[in-house]
Amino acid sequence: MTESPAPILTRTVTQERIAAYAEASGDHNPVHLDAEFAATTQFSGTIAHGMILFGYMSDALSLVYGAAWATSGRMRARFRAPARPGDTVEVSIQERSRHPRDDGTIDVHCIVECWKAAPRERLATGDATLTVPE
Amino acid sequence: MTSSAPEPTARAGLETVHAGQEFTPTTLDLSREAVVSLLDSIEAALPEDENGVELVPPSVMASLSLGALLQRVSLPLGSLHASQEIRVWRPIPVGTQAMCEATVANVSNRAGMTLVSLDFNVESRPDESGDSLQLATGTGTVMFPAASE
Repeated sequence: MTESPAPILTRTVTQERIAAYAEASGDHNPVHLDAEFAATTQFSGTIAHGMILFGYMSDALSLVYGAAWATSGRMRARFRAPARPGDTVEVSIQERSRHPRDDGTIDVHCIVECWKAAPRERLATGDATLTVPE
Repeated sequence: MTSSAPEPTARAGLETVHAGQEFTPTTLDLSREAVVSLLDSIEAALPEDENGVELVPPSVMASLSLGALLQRVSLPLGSLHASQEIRVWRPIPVGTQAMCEATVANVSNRAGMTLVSLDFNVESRPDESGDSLQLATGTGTVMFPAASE
């Protein structure tokens, strides 16, 4: 892959999607849902759950590696900046290494990044590994 | 909701927990409805293996485990998710019966914030012979303003 890989996935964050994630996950932290409360925080408005970004990163890995991601995936992610309703978010994957295993499968190591498209800002970074068929 | 009805256990405030503290195990709802609801909210599709078996993706395991944990602990106002780790140990078919155990791994203070790391371990429900399989492990770190002295 290149130094600046093209995005694998692009999503637009909306308050409706944030509310849907809150309902599905059980995470009703008011900083994500309550505009009045969120206006009093350092963010001056609601922000997306970090796990929504984590989900975008996971989905990008699934798009690239298929079922191998769901069967053997491991990711450590750090949330660096919030995504807000209206933000367009892009996920890129940079494959760093491939190591063959004795059983014929291959261990893959990737760096996954989640960016706000404009103004450009890195929102989350992940270090992912998985095992793919030969 | 993300998991079955909680046992009548009082929720601890995250600001009161200590390293090594364990929470009562919780049943994880890995039903198709629960998994698809989460995937729909992030506009993602349900993955399948080469035989068409629908699988629970890693991010959903992490989200549902955190949701289960929120039945045991309440977050202080101003809480933010700092980092997240997940590892799946084997394919997890949709509909698998699973239990989630969680432990406070670490509590620290930095720059006016308290950071709490929570380890979780998800295993299949024991079969007739009492055996269970490890499905996923992970760690979530949440930070919130430290209490003033």
